[in-house]
Amino acid sequence: MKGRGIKPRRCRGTRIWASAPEGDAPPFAKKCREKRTIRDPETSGDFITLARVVKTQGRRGEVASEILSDVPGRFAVGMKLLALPKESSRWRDLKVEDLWPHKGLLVLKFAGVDSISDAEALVGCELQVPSIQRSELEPGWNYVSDLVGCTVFDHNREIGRIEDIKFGAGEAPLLIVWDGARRVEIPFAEAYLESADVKAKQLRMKLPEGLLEVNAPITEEEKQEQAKPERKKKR
Amino acid sequence: MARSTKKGAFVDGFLMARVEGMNSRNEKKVLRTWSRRSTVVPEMVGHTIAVHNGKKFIPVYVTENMVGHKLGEFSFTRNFKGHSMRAATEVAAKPAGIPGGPGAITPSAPAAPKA
Repeated sequence: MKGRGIKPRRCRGTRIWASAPEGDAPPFAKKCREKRTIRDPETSGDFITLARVVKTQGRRGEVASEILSDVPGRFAVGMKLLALPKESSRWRDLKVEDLWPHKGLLVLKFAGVDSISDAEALVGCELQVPSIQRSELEPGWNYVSDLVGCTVFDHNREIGRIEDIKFGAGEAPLLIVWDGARRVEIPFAEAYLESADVKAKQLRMKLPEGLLEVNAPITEEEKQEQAKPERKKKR
Repeated sequence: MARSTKKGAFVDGFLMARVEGMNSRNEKKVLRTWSRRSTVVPEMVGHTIAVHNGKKFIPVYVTENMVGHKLGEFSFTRNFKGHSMRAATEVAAKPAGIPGGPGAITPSAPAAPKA
């Protein structure tokens, strides 16, 4: 988990996802169950994925999960999660009994999952929560899923839509923008950002000269740079 | 073994000349380079340097925290796309702060010299 100074918000509506049997469930839980059977998580934005089960861990039904949340302390004992398998669209309600970090992954022990064979059924599952439980970010931060799909403008000229965001090229994440013919990589830096309106799906930027033509054919000056200097002859 | 501090950080001459030229003209232009071996020096902060990864140029916005590293460290040569998710995740992104500005992440203090 990367601690990037994100302030977590108090989660709402955790009671809704109580795993009580259908008959005992309070009316609001019944409503939610109906909603879940009608809506497809692939097409609706009602759920967010917090982690993905990578493998089983240990002998008592624990699973090792890859965390897909930047919010520190996102997982807690007693937390309710929905496991969505790779191929199927049928959820499984899970309750976290215990958790601990291990080798870059988070080991989760769920209530009712007590053997390796039980845990194997969860491998590949996405661990989700309803999107209303999504944490609020500090000003200046945006969710990658919100930025994807935004239209990027450079000096009021439309460039294209954000397809993805890559991390690793320094401090500035790279926005992968599809302009209809090619992919352009734009550093997400405050120096270039004029305004970011995620609700209107618009990002206005002031890009430096040459950024959009970064992979254009090389110039004469650059050819000279590439050419190796002649070595001095030894006497 | 570390490079002698007497020599200073290694930067290819042609790259340094272009960076200094842009600084003197107060110009912000993307610089394309193949010199992955050059060290990031304070003169480069605030510029965008497109570093070749063997196939294409990766634009790298240089910040204060990158000083002392090599340019090649920020231009990956291998690409792992990761596993696709069926729903949105809670991964967040923030634009890199303007160097020296209020949003900039201050570089960590240098380690104390060993006695």
